[in-house]
This record gives sequence, structure tokens and C-alpha cells, in this order.
Amino acid sequence: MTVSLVFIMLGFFIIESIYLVALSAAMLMMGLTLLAVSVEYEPNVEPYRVLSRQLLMNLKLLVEGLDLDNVKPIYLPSSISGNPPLALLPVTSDADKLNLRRKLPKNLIVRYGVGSNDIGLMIATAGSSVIEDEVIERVSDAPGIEGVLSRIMVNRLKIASSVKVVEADGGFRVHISSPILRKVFVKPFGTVYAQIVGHVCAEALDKPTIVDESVDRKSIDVTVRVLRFE
Amino acid sequence: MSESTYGVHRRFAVILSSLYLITFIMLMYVGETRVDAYISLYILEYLVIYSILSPVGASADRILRRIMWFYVAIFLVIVSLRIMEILGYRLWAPT
Repeated sequence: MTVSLVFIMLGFFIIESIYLVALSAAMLMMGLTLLAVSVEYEPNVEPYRVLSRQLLMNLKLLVEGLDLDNVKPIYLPSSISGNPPLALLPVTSDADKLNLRRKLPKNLIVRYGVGSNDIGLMIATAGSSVIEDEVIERVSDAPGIEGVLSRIMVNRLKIASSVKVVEADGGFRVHISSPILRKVFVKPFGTVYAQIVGHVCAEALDKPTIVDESVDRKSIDVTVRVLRFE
Repeated sequence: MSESTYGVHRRFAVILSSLYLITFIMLMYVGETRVDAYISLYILEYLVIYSILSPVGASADRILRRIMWFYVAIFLVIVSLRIMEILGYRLWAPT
């Protein structure tokens, strides 16, 4: 804008070129417009923060009220929980001794096995809403899962700079670099990254998964355990 | 911010700058030497594009609307000067 003002003065008083003045005026007007438009490039996240905080508070009240805040969530594929896939919080059973039914009804409180105590909560996570908008390919190897996770976290959501997946102990170890949402933590699900990894792996492998994560300032490591499921 | 909002911003800037360039080249091609003719057309183009593409975004719209009224004022000054010139009162008319 300053340059265009200088050019207007130059064209008007020194060179006396109408064309230079006209072109500089266009530049000046364009500069004003771009200045106004660039204000909107700062995203207004406050309304979304208020809404998400309210939802998280409700979830926290529910989970703490039922004393489920230390239970490991089991991420289910859509073939078990329906679409979008949900996470199961078993009230009593140990995750390794789960006897999941092939298809679960879509309720908040669900009877997932044949035992009288096989009751749990079905909760939608960040991974559920991600998968709802995404086609997850059936893959069973680390490069395939890495491709899907990179597409979601790096390219679409832009919440990490890179994702690396290696096979480990019959499951997978996922290394996520530069996790900008590492402080968003929801008990008992963990970070958004753990929720997305758990759900994407469950969906890609078509098997229930459990995740463990370790968070530091520059990266998050998520260990995915695939549950045996007949 | 959503991708669509970025899209409107980009479209607004690209269309407006393209129109300004086309207008400048066309008027220069026909040998127009009145600065107010250029500026009037730039202002009209801004008003048309803003009317078509708004709302651009809450904060941007607030500023773009102020710019619009500023341009309308300049446009009215230019038109008034030309009318006065036609009526024989030549205060100052840009060449």
C-alpha cells in the first residue's frame, strides 16, 4: 500500500503519467481489500471451544459417575458397533477376557457378551467422528495403517507433522511427531491421537483394539494392541 | 477456519485483482486519460464483487463494509465533480 501511494505521487506530480496513477490506485485498493480479508485468516475458535468443553464435561460426569475413569476403552470396528464405530467401556470385565458378540446394538448401555456382568458403555470418540467422514481401507500391515493415519492426521486434520507405524508384539507402535493437540486429554480415552489411532486401526483391521500412549512435548507414542476376536 | 471460508477469501482477492487488471488494460487500450474513470470503475467492481461474494467472514465483512462506504463516498465526490463540470462550475476535475 505504501508503495502504491508512492507510485501515485510519482505518477501524478513527477512523471505525470495517468496510467501509472491508475495502476497504482488499483494496487492501493487491492491492498486495502487484502488487508481486510486477511483479518479472517485468524480462525475464531472460541465458539467451538465452548461447545466442545460442554460436551467433554458431560462425558467426564458420566464416566466418573460410573467409576469408569480408569477403564481401558476398547475401540470397535463398524462391523461390531455399527457406523460410525464407537468405543466400548466395559463396566466389569477385563479387556483380555472379553467375549464380544459379533454385532452390538447401538445403545449407550450395552450388553456386549453372554455373561450377566458383560455390560458396558458405548461412547463416540474423536476417532468415531473422523471415520464417519472418511473411507478407511481394509489393511493389515504397518505401511498400510501408516498411510491411512498420515492421510487423516497430517493431510486432513493437520494436527501432526508425520506419522510412523511399525509392527511390535503382535500389534503396532505409532510414533506421531509435532502433536499440536497433545494437551487435549479426555479420561479414560487419552489424547485425540490415541482415539484416532485406536479407531482407525480397529476399522482397518476389522478387529477391536486397545491403545496405550506416552506423551511428551515433541511426540506421542501410541501402542496398539489388537484383541483376539472370533 | 473452514476450507470454504479460505475459498471465499481467495476467490474475492483473485476475482477483484483480475477485474482491476482487465479494466486497467481495456481503458488504457481505448486511450482513457481521466483518472476518475479508472477509479469509478474500480469502485463499481468492488461493490459488485462484494455484493456477490459476501458474507466473507464476520471480522472481514466489518472492515470490507467500511471500505465500501469509503469507496461510495469517493464515487459520490467524483460524480458530483463531473455534474458540476457539466453545469459549468469547474472547481477541479481530474484530467
